[in-house]
Amino acid sequence: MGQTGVINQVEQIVETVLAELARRRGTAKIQPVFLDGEGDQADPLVEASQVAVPNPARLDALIAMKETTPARLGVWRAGPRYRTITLLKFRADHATAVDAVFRPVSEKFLADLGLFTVQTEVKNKDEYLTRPDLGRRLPPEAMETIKARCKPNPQVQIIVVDGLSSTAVEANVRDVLPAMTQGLTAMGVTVGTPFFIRYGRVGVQDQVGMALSAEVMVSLIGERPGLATAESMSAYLIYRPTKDTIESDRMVVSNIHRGGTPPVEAGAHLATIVKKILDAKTSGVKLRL
Amino acid sequence: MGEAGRSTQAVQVIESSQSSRSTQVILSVGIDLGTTTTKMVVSELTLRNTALGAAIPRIEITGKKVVYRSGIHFTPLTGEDRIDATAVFRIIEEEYRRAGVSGREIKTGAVIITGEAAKKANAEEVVHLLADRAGDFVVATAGPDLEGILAGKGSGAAERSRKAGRLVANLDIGGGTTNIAVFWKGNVLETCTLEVGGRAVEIEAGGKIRRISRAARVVAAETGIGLREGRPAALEVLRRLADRMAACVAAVLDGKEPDRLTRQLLVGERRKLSVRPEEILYSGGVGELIMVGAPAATLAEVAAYNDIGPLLAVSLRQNSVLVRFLTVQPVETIRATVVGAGAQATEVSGTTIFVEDGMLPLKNIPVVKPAGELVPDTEAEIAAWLGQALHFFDSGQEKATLAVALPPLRECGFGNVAALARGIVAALGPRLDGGEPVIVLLSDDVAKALGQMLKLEISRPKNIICLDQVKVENGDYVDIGRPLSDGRVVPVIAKTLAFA
Repeated sequence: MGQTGVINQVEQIVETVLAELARRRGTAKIQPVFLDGEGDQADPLVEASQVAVPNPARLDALIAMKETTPARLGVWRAGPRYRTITLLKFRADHATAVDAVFRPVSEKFLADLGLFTVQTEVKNKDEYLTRPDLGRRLPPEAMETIKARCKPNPQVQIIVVDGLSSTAVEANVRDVLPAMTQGLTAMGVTVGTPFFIRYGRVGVQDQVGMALSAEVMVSLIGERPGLATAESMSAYLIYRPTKDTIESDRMVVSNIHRGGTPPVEAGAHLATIVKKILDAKTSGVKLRL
Repeated sequence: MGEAGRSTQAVQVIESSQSSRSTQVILSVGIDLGTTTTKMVVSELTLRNTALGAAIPRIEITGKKVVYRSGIHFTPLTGEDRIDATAVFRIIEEEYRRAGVSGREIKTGAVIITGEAAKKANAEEVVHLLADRAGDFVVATAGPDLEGILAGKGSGAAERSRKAGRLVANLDIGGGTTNIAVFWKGNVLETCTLEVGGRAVEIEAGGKIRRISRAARVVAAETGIGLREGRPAALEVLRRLADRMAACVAAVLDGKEPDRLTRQLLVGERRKLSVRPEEILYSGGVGELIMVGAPAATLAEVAAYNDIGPLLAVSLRQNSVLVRFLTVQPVETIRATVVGAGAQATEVSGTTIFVEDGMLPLKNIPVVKPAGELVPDTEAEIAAWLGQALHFFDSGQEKATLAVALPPLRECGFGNVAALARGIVAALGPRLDGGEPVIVLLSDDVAKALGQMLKLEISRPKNIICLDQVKVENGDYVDIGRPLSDGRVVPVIAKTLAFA
């Protein structure tokens, strides 16, 4: 087996483990794990998210406490340090966060949702992280693509932006987009042609809004990941952005992920917020919801 | 979550910037029509957005403060079998006057009719009339399990279980019944009711026995105690009776298989508790006597309230099984149930909900909750599963407006919610043709999405209500009030209406 083959295989294993980790995090209830004797055989992924205090005086109370927070409570210790499994879990979560920032949104995902792609003035991820200003600007060729492919003058233009978490985009947009579009259509609001912006920041919505003469712009964008989740997405909304737009004209709904507001519910909620913005013809601090 | 929520300071954080402004205080009333006594409380409930950062708001009841406690009134009766409704209304009107509130200011609350009072011929009529008069969204409730739960919330047992992380049982002992509710993490785990109360034997001023309850007759027969109405009461005989009743309560709490006598005193189907509580609290009239250590050494002391309440209190306090439980000081005793009804019965729905204009309030809606841990996956399975539950409900009673309560979904994706919407419409089929509204209560936070999808399937106006974060069980009733907090949430009271 060549070097590439080995790397592929390693990648595959890592993918499987991460997928399993995500699955369990989503569904598993906290359970006691018995560390005596069988410790070597215990599944580290399961164990790390669970009670590790040996012989707790009140196991049920400790579990109840752990269920109230994703924080790492009751991880126990080895001498004055973390146990190895705690450290590994911490590093695995950190790696998930790093991956969320650095991995691209997959082409297959974009094709499934029928979203075409344009790129900001940013050339690569490193530049994206160091030059936020470029992430807010689209080059002329991207603007031509947008004008050619999008319905002009929509009441609402939705864009999907990778932001700081491709993972969040892939985890939520599939449910947010249809729920929001359905809600808006039912209220008689016309929705423009959604598309994807690579290496984008929040402010890029202004340029798109002006080019398409959209009444309301909605950006679905990945949030900076933390150690509790890398899947959290935000929606930023603004009424008729201009070159004079300032940040207080925008509105945001954050914490869209399955551990926060479920994406399908967030989509329905966003539809009603868009309607309120359309009715009030303003957004940001000027709009009292 | 994580860092993400903090990165948005400059932008208007939707709605949460108004959270401090949108704190809302509403007045709630509780009225308890009990076997022996009737009381009322007025509480202030504070509603506030507790969501962090820019997350979608979450309106919660963050404060529950009792601002007025009525006196303890004897429940007025006309003869043996009827509540004196006019006298009850007069008591409540007088208490409203003293509290300085009018029915129009009362935004929510509950009237509960309990114990023997719930068995009176006009119990149902009185409790509904009283609820209608008491305020804008004051609901009628009845049933021993609910009484036990409300008492445990009023006494502080529920909160104690949450704070201390222990299994806590509340024993609400009134004139007619002992209502046990066991709490864990602030929620009720189990309830159990026994016909054990202070009014088991009523004693006249002269020391003669005026009336012996059904339960006391059973206990007397089973233990060979001689009791006769109209005869002078003998302290030793009454003490044996009270001791035996206390032993039945202790046996239930201890998780023992109930003996023949205990089975005869149990109300409903519950045979015993499946968990053994670590701590207990006493509430109710007899509970108060236990906590204050009321004496019962002489017949005069026993008959202080014209019944054997003080004696039963002593028997319970000295029971060899019950003393082994850690007894915790309750925050309310004789008013535990009424405080529970006034301050704890009202809950609020989730904040993203679907409510069509002009449908609320809705009162006394029976709840149908199909069995199962999770909603099935496909439209066809959902339709069959829900259809079966509806069929069972229809065969039990007349056609009525009902609410469908659902367990969690396996996944909350767009496709799953869409399948649920179509499954519900298919199962409700004939009801929809008859113009019945669709009321769905969910545990998952997807009510608004589901409502939106139901609306696409059903085009008639004023027809759909979808709420989440509502805890109800099959056979419960639910009352849903007009929206609060700028229309973002509705008050919900889940309850029972069980008249003996």
